[in-house]
Amino acid sequence: MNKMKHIRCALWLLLALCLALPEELYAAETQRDLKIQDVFIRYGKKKNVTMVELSKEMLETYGMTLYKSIVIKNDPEALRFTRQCLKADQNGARKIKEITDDGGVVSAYYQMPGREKDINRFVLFKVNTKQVITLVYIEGELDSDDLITLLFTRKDF
Amino acid sequence: MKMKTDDIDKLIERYFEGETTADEERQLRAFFASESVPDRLRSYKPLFAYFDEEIQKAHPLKLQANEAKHTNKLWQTKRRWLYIASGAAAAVLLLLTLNHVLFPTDPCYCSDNYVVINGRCYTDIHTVRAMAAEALHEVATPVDEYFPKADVNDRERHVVDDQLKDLGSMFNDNETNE
Repeated sequence: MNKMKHIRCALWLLLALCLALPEELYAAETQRDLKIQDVFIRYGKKKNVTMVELSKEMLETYGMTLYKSIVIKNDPEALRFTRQCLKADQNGARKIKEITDDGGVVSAYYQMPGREKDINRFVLFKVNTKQVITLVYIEGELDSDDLITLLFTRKDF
Repeated sequence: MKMKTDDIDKLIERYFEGETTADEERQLRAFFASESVPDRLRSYKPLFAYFDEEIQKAHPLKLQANEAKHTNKLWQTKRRWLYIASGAAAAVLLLLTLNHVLFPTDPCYCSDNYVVINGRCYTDIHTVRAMAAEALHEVATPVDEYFPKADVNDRERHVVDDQLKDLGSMFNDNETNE
């Protein structure tokens, strides 16, 4: 009887561990709290989509720790979904730039509230006349001025 | 349990009369197998030792059955633990699978730096860099390029402005000539 109690306890502990583990993984990935992460997950592996991820070592020169981008072609549903996600993520975000056309965002730079001190997070979005969606997520020590400089000096990685 | 010598005497008497039960005979054999046999009864010791030996020889199957029963019990305990362990492992697997389905992680784990094009993962660093730069340049495109209609209008406006300037300069020239 006592043994069964121990087994039951061990099983509950195991269950709790299994449930807690993903939370730890989420904490490690700071982009997780943003809705735009769903755009990367949902469309990242689809046809007519190009998704890029660059890690710390590659980005050190630019003051970045994470760079992710996704380019989606010919997908009106993806555009609707991306705009929805951007709208959801705008809470507490600083608008660096936002251009709308017919009520829909066509170009935007947002600075998202940081989860860690000295780490800034930016979401860049654009949909061009050919309906090509470009969504970029940048994370790092760089500030909005650094970002603008980087964007308009057209440096290569 | 220590037996009194009187009781033993009575039991021995009944034993030889053939009136003892199996349990009483077992008590007798146990008594004579012990070290506390009085000297006057020591002559019976080899007799009961012999009976004991014969009984054990006569019932080897029973002993084997007991041993088998014991082994079986051990196996049952082991099997029960095996079931519990495999159940726990299955539960962990199920939870991990559910977790993977309900909370999908990043779609690509092929490298720290990668590009996924049409569902295929590439890790060639030049391709990755080129694609990253392309996306960054795309979002950095100047505002004018978002609205081609506005561009056309602007171009037209420039043409009209230029024509007006020309006209203006003509008037100015005429005025100065006059």
